Amino acid sequence: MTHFLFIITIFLLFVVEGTIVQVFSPDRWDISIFMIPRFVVVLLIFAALFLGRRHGLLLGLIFGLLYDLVYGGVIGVYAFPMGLIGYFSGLSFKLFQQNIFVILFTVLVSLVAYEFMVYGILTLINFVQMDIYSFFFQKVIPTLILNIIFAILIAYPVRNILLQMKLEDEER
Amino acid sequence: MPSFFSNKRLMILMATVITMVVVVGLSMKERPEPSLPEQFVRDSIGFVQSIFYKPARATAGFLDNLREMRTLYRENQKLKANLQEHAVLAAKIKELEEENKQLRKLLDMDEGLNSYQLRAAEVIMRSPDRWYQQVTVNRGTKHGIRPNMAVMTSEGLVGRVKSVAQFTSVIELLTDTNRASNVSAIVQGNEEIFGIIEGYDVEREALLLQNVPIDAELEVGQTVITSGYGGRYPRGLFIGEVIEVIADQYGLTKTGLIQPAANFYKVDFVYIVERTLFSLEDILEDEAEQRRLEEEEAAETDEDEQGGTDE
Repeated sequence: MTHFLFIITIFLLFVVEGTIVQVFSPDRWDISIFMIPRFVVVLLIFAALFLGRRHGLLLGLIFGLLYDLVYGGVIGVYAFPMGLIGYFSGLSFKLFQQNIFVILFTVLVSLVAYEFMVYGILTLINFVQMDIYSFFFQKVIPTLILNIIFAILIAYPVRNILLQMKLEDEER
Repeated sequence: MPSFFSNKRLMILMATVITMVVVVGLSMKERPEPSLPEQFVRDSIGFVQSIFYKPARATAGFLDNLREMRTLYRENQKLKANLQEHAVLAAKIKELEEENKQLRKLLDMDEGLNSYQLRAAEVIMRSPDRWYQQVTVNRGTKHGIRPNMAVMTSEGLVGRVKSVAQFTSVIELLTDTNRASNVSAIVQGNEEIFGIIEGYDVEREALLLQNVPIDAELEVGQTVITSGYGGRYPRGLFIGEVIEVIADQYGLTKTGLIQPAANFYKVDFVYIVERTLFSLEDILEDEAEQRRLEEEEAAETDEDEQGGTDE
């Protein structure tokens, strides 16, 4: 049951990213920075940290594919980076001890890696022309600020839910 | 190097990279009508999105209103001054339209390049990162939307229909730098100047009107509309105003920077424009279809006849 609710939550955040957040996005008020909501990726990293890499990989591929179908056009541009992020962010609890700073640091590094992977793939297939300098300052930094704040806000409730999910898994 | 290849994880990683290249390569080209599962996913998520988007937009609209309250008085006075002029113009337009209709009747011309039909649609989502400059609207093939129709807001042209599903369709905005289709345009002046809207200057926030002859009298402040010669868009959709003219690097043509009339950051309600005049392509396609059907029918009757002789 908790599993189901968790996936529904990710799905709702996925929808919110394209609808509610877009209504309040900075460029609507004539500010030329891009705060990209990456709430799905943040939750994905949490899932990978607490449930394990396999869960992260699977969730990443599924939601990446949804992202490609609904918000993108070319299949694979979001799916593969999300899968990779889901897998590799799960490693950090194996290397470091579990505390909030390790979580936030993992979120930070993973988000930067994710943004650069998407940018890299889209540049490679010549879908976007944006120089790396303005990409970094106009997109990456504002995006990081928004999503780190989001991660701090949800860290404790999500951690408790995920730990409970893990207990349920072990009981089974 | 046996140890290198026996590493299972490395093999999986390599397989993943290869799969990725193949999948991206296969889905890279434009697909105006995506496969049925894709359409299903888009439609069902589109339904959820529309539930979320409407209240959010209403809230944002309220905030906008609050912000505009301060400038309301000045704006009101300005508009009152404009109103007089507007009434005169409206009367004149009506007269001209009437005359145009009569002249068309004399010539037996029913539909021209500038006749079109509008379908209203509501935006239900926008891609969160602005890599893909596209929005999704709540109208699809079931409502008569076809790929490559022009899309405009009440202010002016904003883009075209990129791909359709049953109940939703994806609109590619003119700001997309990877735009596959260009818009054939006319600059209105003493004489008509032809050009092609091709590309978008992100820094200046202006569309690029390319391929204007070097001796054309392109001036700042002239208005730009669609020409209708491209075959997809009707004539006379407003695009924007020329804000700067630059010579291209070889000095053979000029490029105009065009300030688009529509605000691409606030696309909420759009009109999807269907051109009612058929283009040559459509006619040829229809004929080919007709011929195919006839051939099929002929083949069927042949089979029937053969069946008859067997009996």
